Amino acid sequence: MKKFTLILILIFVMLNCAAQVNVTGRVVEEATNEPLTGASVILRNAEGKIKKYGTTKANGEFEISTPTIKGFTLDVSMMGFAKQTVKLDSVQLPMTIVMEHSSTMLKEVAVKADRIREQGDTITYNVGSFAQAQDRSIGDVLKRMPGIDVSKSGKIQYQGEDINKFYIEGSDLLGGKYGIATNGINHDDVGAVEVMENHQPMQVLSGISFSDKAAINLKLKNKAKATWSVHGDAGAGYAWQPEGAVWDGELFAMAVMAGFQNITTLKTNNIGEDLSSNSTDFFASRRETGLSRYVGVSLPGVPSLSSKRTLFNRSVLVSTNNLWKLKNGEFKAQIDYSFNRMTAQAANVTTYFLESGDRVVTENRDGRDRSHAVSGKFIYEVNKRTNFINNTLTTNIDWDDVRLGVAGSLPNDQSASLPDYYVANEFKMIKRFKGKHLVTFKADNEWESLPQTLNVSMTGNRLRQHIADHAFYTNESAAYAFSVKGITVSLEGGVKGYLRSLNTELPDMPEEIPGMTENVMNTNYLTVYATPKFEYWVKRVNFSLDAPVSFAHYAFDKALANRSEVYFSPSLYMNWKPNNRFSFSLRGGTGRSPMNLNLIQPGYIMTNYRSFRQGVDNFYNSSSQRISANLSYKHTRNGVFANAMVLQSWSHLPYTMAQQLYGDYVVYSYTDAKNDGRMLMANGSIGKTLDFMRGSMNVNGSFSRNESHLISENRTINNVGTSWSVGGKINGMPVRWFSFDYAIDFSSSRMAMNGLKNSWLGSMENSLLINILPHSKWEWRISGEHYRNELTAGTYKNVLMLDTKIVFKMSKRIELSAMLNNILNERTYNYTTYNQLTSFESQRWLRGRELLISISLRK
Amino acid sequence: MKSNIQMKTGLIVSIFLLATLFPASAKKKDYPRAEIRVTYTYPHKRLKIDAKAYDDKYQMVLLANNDYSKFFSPCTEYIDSLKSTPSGERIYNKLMDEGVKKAIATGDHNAYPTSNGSLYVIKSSATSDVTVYDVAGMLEYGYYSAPFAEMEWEIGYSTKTILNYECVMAETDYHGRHWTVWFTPDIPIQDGPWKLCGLPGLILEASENSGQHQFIAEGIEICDQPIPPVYSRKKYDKMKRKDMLRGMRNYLTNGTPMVNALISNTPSGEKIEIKQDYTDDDKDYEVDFLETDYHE
Repeated sequence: MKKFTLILILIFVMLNCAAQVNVTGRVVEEATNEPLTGASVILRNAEGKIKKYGTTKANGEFEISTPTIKGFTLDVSMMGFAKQTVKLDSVQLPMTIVMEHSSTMLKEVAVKADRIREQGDTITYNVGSFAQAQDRSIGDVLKRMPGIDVSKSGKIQYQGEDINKFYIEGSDLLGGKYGIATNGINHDDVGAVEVMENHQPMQVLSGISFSDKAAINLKLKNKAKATWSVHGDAGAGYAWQPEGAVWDGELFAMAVMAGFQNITTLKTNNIGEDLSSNSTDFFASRRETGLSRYVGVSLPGVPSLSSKRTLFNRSVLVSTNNLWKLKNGEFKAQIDYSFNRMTAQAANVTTYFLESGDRVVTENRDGRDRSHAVSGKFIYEVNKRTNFINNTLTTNIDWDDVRLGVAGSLPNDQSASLPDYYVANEFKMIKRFKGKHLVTFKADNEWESLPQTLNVSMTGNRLRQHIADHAFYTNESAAYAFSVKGITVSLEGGVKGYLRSLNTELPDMPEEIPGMTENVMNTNYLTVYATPKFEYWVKRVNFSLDAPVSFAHYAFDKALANRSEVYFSPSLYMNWKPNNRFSFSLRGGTGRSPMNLNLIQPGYIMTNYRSFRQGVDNFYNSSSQRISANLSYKHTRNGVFANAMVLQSWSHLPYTMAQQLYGDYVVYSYTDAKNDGRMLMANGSIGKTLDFMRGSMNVNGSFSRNESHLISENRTINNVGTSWSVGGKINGMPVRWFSFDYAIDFSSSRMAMNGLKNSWLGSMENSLLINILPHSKWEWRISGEHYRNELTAGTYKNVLMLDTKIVFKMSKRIELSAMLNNILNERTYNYTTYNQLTSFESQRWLRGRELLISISLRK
Repeated sequence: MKSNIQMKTGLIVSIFLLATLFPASAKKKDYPRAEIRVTYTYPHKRLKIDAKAYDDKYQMVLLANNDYSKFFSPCTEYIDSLKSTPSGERIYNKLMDEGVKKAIATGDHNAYPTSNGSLYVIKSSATSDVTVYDVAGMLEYGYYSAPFAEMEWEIGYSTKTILNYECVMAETDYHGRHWTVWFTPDIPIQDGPWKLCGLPGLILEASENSGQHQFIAEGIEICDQPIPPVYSRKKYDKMKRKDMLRGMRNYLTNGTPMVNALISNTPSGEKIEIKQDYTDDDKDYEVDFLETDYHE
């Protein structure tokens, strides 16, 4: 029996051996026939996949055993020799492979690194690999990076969430005004854009408090460091509408040194470029003074067209931003001035088909808005692992003068003067001791004055509305937190005080409207609050619970009865990152809150020539609930980024806005009626790099549904607005001399009132830019947009705008260009809509053909 | 017996004479010459002696020919080469003095020369082994050798292009970490960053799955430069691999008190805070070396 088993085993082993093929051979050098040691031998199957491999021994021999060699090839290679490939089907073993000398040529290394790299929480985008020839600033390139989204206003989002810091070489020079950097810094000066996920800007909180926000850091190239980089553009030309001279100029200087950073910029143009994205503070939190304008006179706009086609402006912006690194911390000073003059015109003709004959109502609106703004921000900050100190002093002064003339059936002239004065100081100090204990002190003080004057003259009548509105806010708090094994428990306690006075007067009032036209109000409060917070953070899960409780006493200086209220509004947040690629978060909250104190206003205020507003004469509380979920996914090696969000919220107000017509006037007021609102929002986006053409693409979609109530002419109206949109964009450079950008957006919306549904109205925009580089010194660009806007069901308005530009790069420092915008010279946006009883004809003006010759210089 | 001693003396004298006659040329000739120079960036997380995790990133270079290679930081090698001779040491001290002064004045901590780690990896196919030189604790240096065969690769189907070379994916479990690498058969050198080698082509990218360590090739050049040995080899003691790692880990997690014991009085009289309380579940302690099997 034993023998039999042995024989069986032997047979099995032999069979097994027979099934293996031993690929053997010898590798020698040509001419000398000397054996080659250390040559690499690779066995590939029919598909080219490496199945086995080895090296040659000292005698040049190799031996590789494999189950089969059908369709297999053998590669032999060695540095300094040409690679040999042998088909194994028709070869006798052992074989001899003769290697011929050849210098191993290395390929030209064109792409130096991956376009996107990930390391821990940092994602690094290689700027050079995303930039296209038509890009100038780093902001142009950011838009192409999957995962990063730059909105029309200039605000940056990463995976659908606003960023919380914008650094240049690790320093936060600009705070929320990063538009200056994204619009100013030349992309060629930036080596990489780093996105730091879950960025906690306060080092003292690192490892203690979780952050779901990401920060962006620009890594400059060495040539842009420790020196001043300066560039400037100057362009001048002629426009066909408004007829006259046009200009566009920019001067930008930046210094990034070890102990000092500066960015100073001067920009001016009248070619329709809105400079507000350069001076907007995207991190600004809501002013606690809580004032808002009652007067609302605004210029007519053109629906659904890009602002560069419709904005008639003269704009100037000067901004200087400095950062000094001190021994312990840093000091920053940001000073801005901007001037903006905008004009707009619109003409409407409404025809009523009546049995007694047609009645035509015309309205020509012609407006001008001049605004100046000066702002200064001074920050001292110490950001260390054991302590954090920040003191921020902010001052803002704005003047806004609006003039709007209406000619036609109801001629009038409105002029409004709307200055704003604001000063705030915020102080925050956090100290960490023994690694686990945190003590925080905060002191915020804000003051604001928002006087408003509106003059209306109409058919010989003159009306003058004056408003004086001042507020002072103070908040002092202290907090203690300790952290142990991933659990942080904190308690913040503080006192808030608020003093506000409102005085309004409207000496003359149209006879049609009954009621008081004067307000003398004080809305003051004193709040004592405590916010316990519990945070649990272990490995991949973060969980936090906030439960603020406050006791508030409201005093209205006899105009209303004083009130005392208790508020409790807990909120919950959970984040789970099962791995580096996915992140899932859930947020929810509920609570009761005081009403907006601006609404307490028993007397009328004129907001523009046709409308009056009356607030409530009582104090109310409102309540709301919300729940939202976010999902994000990224695969940096494949360059895929995706995110999706859904939010549902409910609000319950004890008052409802009512709209009433008195003759030609509209009066808005509030009545004691329950108003339950609901909102559903969902959006998603997927981005992907397209490496084969150095490009990228993005697809996005959104949906929203908003339900609210309104009382109009004593009837309750349930308003449901539904809208959805889809969009996509793609860019790339398939060949060296050609690059392109294409975007398509489609959106559609519908209003329903008390179940009566209007039809869906859609609008589509296609835009394409093609850049051709026939020669290294020349660039020719042709771009344009096509708009297809649905005016009424089935009626569309099409607009095509075309631009072209020629760029001549004289040298690395000098560039000349000639630009012709709106080649087809489309001057108006006209449309007419009909229904059974009326026709409505509207005319808006567009920027006409425009020729601009520019020179750009770089240091 | 006598003649034997005489012969030995003669031999020693002649060797000495030869050595003095051809000091440089004789020595240089002995060094193997590289055929290729590959620059890798090495983004990684590491603990510093305050036992906190930091992100770090620097360049490493692989000088290699068909059967010999050295993987090192050029910055570290420059400092080590200076410190290996008395005159170099003087230059180094001068650079340090000036640099530190400048750093204090400007806050620019790049002003003085700092090493990027202390790692050297020598691979030799003559002996089929890899020799690693590194620090093994406070003022302790060690080295060990291990055979190549320890790494067992599994070649995958995925390919990707790195620096214009088509690369093939391969994976291995090695000393506590799972590595995914991309190698190109177009460069027939069976080498790669750190100890990674033994694939039929040069490894251009390697990452382990916790995301703490990554090597990414940034540039490849044909070259003909000699590969000098590790400087000041005498300061390295032969040690066991795991002992070196344990020693270093212990130094990092309990390093501050050790340093304080050495310099109990700082020149300024400043008191140094001693951090001792640490728990193993501290998030930073997940950060570890290239090899993690020493905990076993």
